Amino acid sequence: MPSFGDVVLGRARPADPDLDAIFGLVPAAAALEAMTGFVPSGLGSVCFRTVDGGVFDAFAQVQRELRRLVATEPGATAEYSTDAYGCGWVLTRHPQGALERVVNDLHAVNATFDEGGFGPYLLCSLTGFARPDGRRLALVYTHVSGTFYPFAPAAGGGRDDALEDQATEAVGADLPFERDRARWFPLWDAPAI
Amino acid sequence: MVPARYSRERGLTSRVVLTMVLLAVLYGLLVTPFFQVSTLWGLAAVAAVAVLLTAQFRYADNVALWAMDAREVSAAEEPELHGLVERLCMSSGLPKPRVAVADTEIPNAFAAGCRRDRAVVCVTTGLRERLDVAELESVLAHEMAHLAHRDVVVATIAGFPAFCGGLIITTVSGLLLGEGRLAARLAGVVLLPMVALAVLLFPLSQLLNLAISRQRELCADRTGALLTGRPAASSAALTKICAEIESAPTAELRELRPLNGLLTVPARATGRAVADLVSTHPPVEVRVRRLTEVSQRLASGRR
Repeated sequence: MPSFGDVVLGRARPADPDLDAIFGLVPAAAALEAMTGFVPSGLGSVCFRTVDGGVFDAFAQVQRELRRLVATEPGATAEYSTDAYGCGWVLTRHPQGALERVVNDLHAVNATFDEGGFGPYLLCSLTGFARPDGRRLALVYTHVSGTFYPFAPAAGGGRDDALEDQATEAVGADLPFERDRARWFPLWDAPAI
Repeated sequence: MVPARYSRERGLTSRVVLTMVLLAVLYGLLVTPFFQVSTLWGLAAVAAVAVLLTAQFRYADNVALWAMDAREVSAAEEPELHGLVERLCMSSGLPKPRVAVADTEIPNAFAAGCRRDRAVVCVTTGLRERLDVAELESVLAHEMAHLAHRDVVVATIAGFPAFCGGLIITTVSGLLLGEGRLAARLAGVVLLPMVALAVLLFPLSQLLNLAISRQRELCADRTGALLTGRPAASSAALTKICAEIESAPTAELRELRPLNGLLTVPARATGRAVADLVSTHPPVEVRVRRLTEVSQRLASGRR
């Protein structure tokens, strides 16, 4: 939210992201597994805005660094995609349970954007969780507000509110959590779910 | 070394400061005569201004939607609009506004609602038909920037003195020149000093109001483009909408007139679309040129 001065002067600016909170996922995942049976699926993704510019511009530079970074990580595969809203996604794949490696990847991706000056164009980082019964859950970290929220698509369409509540109960105290449900924005086509 | 484009940005900010100071002076001029009569009258004038402004803050969002014949839409009805708005909320940290659609061929959009929890963003069906996703996003980002800057409040406060002036002039001239009885004419004579004040301040208020409106548009363009990171889409959308408006038949433009007629309804017509409101908005060429400056900033990786 812009400050009063910026409101009066009409110059609200995109806020800088908080990157380190994402490491809190590692201890929180243990609590989540204990209470709900969900384990990290090994998938994680970062959603970002594709900023205008030519191949020699600053944003293209960030994307080149990103590709190099992800390519040198042994055993990992990263995929790039663009969604229906024109946002870019980086998906990182690791074996099930390898949450620490997923989180490290997500942080590295985020840091690359931030160092390139494009931190405000990060939208969110998703970490996927799965349960043997086939249910899926994602913990979504929104960079600008610095908070997490759960997103669980229900099997027959719509969202699984009960599951999202359980997840909140399990990890809500360990992580900076978004209390306002109106801000639990759905991400239907997120690649990490 | 500071590149020229940054100094021009500062130019916009300092002009915003100047108009805000002038607006405060104008409000001072509005109530000073009452204080000269007596302190009680002065306080009564301040209270009247406060009550009228509060009423506008409270009800204006619904009036704006009603005037545009707009309908609030749910996420199930319009997943694309909601999806775009939600992502803009993620980027900006703003609370999610309500989303509305007005069934009009003219491509246009506006934001209304003075309180954060009453805010609404509205687009017309004509806009949706003509713009691609990136352009639609840029228009929504522009409206969200108006919300971030609380431009609905700014527009209400900036438009209020001109609204009062116009109201006084028409009422009193109606009393004096109308068919009314002697008592009405006498009341008109008693109120003449107020007319003198209104005639003096009205043109000033209107000029200031328009200047503030134009500045806030440029500010919203800049913030909106920085929010999406895609100033090129903003320029494309602006150019498209304006071309469309210029070729639209007058009858269609008239559909948008109710909004224009409600002088102080704090609906921010992005009226790039509305020919009638041209003076409230800077020329498209100026807006596109400024968006190009945002492009250059983004390309250099500096914000």
